[in-house]
Amino acid sequence: MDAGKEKRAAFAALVIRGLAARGAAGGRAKGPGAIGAELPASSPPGLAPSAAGNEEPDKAEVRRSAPRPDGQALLAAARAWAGSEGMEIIPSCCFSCNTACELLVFRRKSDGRVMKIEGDPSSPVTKGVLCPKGLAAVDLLYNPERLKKPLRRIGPKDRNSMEPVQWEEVSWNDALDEVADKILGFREREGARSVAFLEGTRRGWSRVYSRLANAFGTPNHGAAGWAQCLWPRLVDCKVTFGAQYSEACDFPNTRCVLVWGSNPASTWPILGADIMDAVERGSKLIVVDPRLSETAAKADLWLRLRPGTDTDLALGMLNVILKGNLYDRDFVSNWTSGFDALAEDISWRSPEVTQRLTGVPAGLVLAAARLFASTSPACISRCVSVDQTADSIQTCRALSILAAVTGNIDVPGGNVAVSLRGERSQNTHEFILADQIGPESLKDRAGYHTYPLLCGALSPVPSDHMPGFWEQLASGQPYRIKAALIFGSNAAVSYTNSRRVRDGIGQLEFLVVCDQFMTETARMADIVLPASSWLERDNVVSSFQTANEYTVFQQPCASIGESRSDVAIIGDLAERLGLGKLFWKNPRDLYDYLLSPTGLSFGQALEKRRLYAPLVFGTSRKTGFKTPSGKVELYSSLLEAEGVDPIPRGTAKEEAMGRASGDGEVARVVGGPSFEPYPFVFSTGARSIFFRHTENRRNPWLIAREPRPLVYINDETAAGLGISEGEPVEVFTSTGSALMYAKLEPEVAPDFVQAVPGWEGRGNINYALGWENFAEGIGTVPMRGLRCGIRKVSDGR
Amino acid sequence: MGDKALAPIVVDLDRCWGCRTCEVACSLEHRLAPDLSFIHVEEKRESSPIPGSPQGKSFIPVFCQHCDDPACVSACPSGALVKDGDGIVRANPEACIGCGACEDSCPYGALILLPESGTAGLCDLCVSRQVSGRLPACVQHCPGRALSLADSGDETASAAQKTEQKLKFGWAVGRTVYKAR
Ligand code: SF4
Ligand code: SF4
Ligand code: SF4
Repeated sequence: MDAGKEKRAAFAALVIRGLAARGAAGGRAKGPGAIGAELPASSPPGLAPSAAGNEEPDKAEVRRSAPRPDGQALLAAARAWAGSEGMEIIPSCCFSCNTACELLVFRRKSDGRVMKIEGDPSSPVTKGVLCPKGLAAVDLLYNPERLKKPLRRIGPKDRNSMEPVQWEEVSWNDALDEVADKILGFREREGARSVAFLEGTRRGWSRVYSRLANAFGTPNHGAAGWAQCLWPRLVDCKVTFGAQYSEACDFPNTRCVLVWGSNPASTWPILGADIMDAVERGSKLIVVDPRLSETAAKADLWLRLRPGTDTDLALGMLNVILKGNLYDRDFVSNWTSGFDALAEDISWRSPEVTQRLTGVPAGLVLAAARLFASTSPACISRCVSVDQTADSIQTCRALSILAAVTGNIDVPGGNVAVSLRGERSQNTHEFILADQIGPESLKDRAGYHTYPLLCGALSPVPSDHMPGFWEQLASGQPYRIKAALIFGSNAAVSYTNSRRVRDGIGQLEFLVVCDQFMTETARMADIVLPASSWLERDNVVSSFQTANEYTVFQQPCASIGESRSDVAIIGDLAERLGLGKLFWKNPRDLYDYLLSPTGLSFGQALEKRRLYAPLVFGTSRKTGFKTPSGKVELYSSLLEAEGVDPIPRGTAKEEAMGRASGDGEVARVVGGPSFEPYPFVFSTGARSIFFRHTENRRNPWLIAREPRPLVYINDETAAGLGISEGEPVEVFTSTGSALMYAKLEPEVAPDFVQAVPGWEGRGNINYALGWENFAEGIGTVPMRGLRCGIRKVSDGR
Repeated sequence: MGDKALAPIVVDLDRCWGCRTCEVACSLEHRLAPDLSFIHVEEKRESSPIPGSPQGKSFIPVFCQHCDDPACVSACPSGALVKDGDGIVRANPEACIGCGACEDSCPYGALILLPESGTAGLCDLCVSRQVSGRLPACVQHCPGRALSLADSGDETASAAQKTEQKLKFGWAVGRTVYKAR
C-alpha cells in the first residue's frame, strides 16, 4: 500500500469513528478531544471534528440539505457552458447496459469530435447521474482498437489457431454479397437449418435480428443469455400472472424491498438509487445474496444463502408466511388458484429445515419472512441470479408466489406491470415472424423436445437449447450446421463451457461476426463486420425493463470509420437474401414504424425526448389475470400442460430430511456428493459496475479500476491455502479451469467462491462451467451452486 | 477568487455504496490519467453495525477536506498552495516545484503529485463547474446520490457562516462534511 492509500484508509476509519461517537452519545456530538485525539499526528491545529457545538443535529434540516438544484436549470447551465467552449450538446441515452440512462453528449462544433459525456440532469429517471460505463463511453468511439472496415480472413484456416490472423479489408458491398451468397448456397444445398443466427445481449436491434433468422427460415437461433437470462422470469410472469412483464417495482410507494439475487448498486444503479430513496424514507430492506454486496451492505436483514438454494429459501419463507397466517387472505381466495396444493406441499419446510438447506439461520428466515409479509406494501426486486439456478423457472415462480400471496401484485408499492407508452413492441412473436418456422423445421431445433419453454411457443424468442446446439456443431450430429452469423456476441467467452463452444465454432465452414472490436470470437471469423456503438445510432429504448414509465431515444452523435448500425446491416443483408420487403432500409424507417401508433415520427419523438405513461394499478383485479383460470396460478396449468412441474418444489423432502443428519448441512449442489477434489461451492454471479458481460475491457478508465478477473474468497479460507489479496488463483472443475485474482472478503462463506465472468483469455471462468443438470422445461445451464477447487498459482505458472 | 464560500460537499454514508463512479467522473473532468482521481473510495469493516452500514461494511469517499488550517499549505516551500477566501485550497502549477512536501504532509492522502506534470493536484470542488451553475462532476454523477452540496440555496453566506452551517450535518475537519443516520 502506498503512503497515500494508507492515510486515506486511516482517515476513513476516523470518519467512521467520528460519526459513531456522535451516534453513541445519543445523537449528540462529543467534544473535539474525544475524537481529535485520534487524528493523525501531522494534523494541523484546528482539524477537529466540526461537531463541536454539542447541539442536537436537526434531522429534518439534514435531510433538507440534499435536494438538487432544478434539473432544467442545470441543463441550461450545461448548455451555456458548452456553448462558451465551442461545443454543442446532443441529448441521447446510454446503452452500455439496459438501464438506458439519459445523457448529454458534448460535441465540438469545429470538427464534430465528441469531447465528453455527462448525465442529463433534466432526466426524470436519472436526475443526472451516470455510471462509470456511461461517463467513460467516449472511448467507445475513439478507442484505437475499434473496427472500422469490413474484414475478410486470409489465414490461418484453423479458427482455433493461436497464430496471428491475417485480414484484408473489403468493401461493405463485397462483404455483404459474400455473406449472402454463402448462406444462400448453404440453404440451397443443405437446407436453412445449416445456417445459424446467434446474438448477444439485448441492444434494440435484437428482435430485428430474430426476425431475420426466422424469415431466412432456420430453426437455429440463440444467445448466451435467454435460458440463463430473463427468459425464466418472463415465462414465469406469463404462466403465473398471464402478463408479459409484471415484476417491476414501484419503489416510490413501497415500504419494504426484498432484493433477491441482484446487486443493483453495481448493475442497475438507477434502481439502486430508488431503493436508497425508499430506505431513506424508512422502508425496510432485505437482501438475499451469498456475498455482502454493495446493496446488501445497506440492508436491515442480509440473508447469506448458499448459492443455488434460492427456491428452498423462498419456499421456506413462504411456509412461515402461510403457517403464521401472514398472507393476504382476500387476495389469495379471490385471485389465486392452487393455494391448498402449494400449502400442503411446503408444509414440512420449517425455518430449521430451511436453514439446513440454504445456510440461512432459522431466525433470519423467520424474521425476513415476517418482515416481508407484515410490511405492506412490499416488493421483490429480482434479477439474473434467479434465472441461473438449476431449477430456474421454479425459483422465479417461488418468488412470484411470495409476492402474490402477500397481496403485493398490481398495487402501489408492490410488483407491477409496467405501463405501455403507445409504441409498437418488438418483443412479440408476431414481430419476429416466429410462425415462419414450420412444425417440421421446429423439430430440427436443438432441445425442441426437451425444453418447450425455451424452444416452443411459451418462449419469449423460440430458440435453440444452446448446449445442445454447440454439441451438435462439434459432433455434426444429428445433422451438420455449416455456417453461423454471430452479431453482438463474444460467443467464445460468453457461453458456458468455452472449450466446447470453441470446438464447435472450429467446425464451421463459414463464420460471420459483427462487432465493434476484434474479440476472441471475431478472431475466428471469415468475415468481420464493423458495428457502430450506441453513440452512433438511432434507437427507441422502450423495453419493459428500462424504466417503469418512460421510453427514451438515442441519436447518432458521431460516426467512426465505416462502422454501421446492426439494423442497417440486417436490412442490407435481408435485401440480398430476397427478404428486403420485410425489413427496413434505413433504421429510422424501423423506428418510425415502431412509433407510428403514437402519432409521432422518430424525429418528433427525439424532439420530445421521452414518451411517458404513468403506472396504472389494480387493472388485473378488474379484468382478471390473463391465465387459463383468470387468476394468479400458484399451481400452473400451463406448465403442467408442457409436462413441467406445476408447483415449485426445490429440494425433495426425502433428500432434504435424509441428508439432514450429522452437522445438518445440505447443499443443493450440482455435481453430486463427492466433495474432493472440489470442496468449494461456486457461482459466477459476481458483477462489476465497470463492465457488462464481456464488454468494456478495453476502456482505460474502466479497466484501471478493475484490471483483472476477480474471484471472491473468504479471507480465512484463503489464508489456509496460502493465498493473499490480489494473488493469482486457479479455479478448477472437472470441465476446465480459469486463472483469476483473489479478492478476499471476510463475509463470504468459508466454502464459497464467486467469480466475475466475462473476461477473455485464461481469466474466462466459463472454461470451468460444464453442461449438466439443465433446468426442467427451459434448459438453463446452472451457474449457481456448482462445485470447484481453488489453488494458489505460484509465479511462472 | 472571491470571499463567498462555495458550498461544501456533504457525503451521506448511508447512501454511498462504493461504486467508484465519483473516481471516474473526477478523472474525466480533470483530464487525469485514467487510473488517477482526486477522490478515492475506501472500504471499512466492523463486526457490528457502523455508520453507513447496518451490516458493518461502509464505504467512505476520501478527498481534500479543504482544511480550516491546511497542513499542505504550511508545508509547501514555494507558496504554490493557498487557502483562498472562498474556502478552497488551490494549487498553482506555475509556482509548484514538485518537491512533494505537500503530499507527505496531507494527513488524509488527499493530495497527489501528478506523474505527468510533476505538480500537486487536489480536489478543487469543481470550482469551474460551480461558477457556471453546474454541480461538481462527482456530485452530479454519483449513482447512489450520496454526494450533495450543502445549503446550496444560500448564495450569500460567507465562509464563516457556511462553517457554522456544516456543524449541523455531521462530521468534518474542514469543508467536506460526512453524515450518517
Ligand atoms: S447504468 Fe451505466 S451503463 Fe447502464 S445505462 Fe446507465 S450509465 Fe449506461
Ligand atoms: S459515486 Fe457516490 S455512491 Fe459511488 S462511491 Fe462515489 S460517493 Fe459512493
Ligand atoms: S485535505 Fe490535505 S490537501 Fe486538502 S487542504 Fe487538508 S491538508 Fe491540504
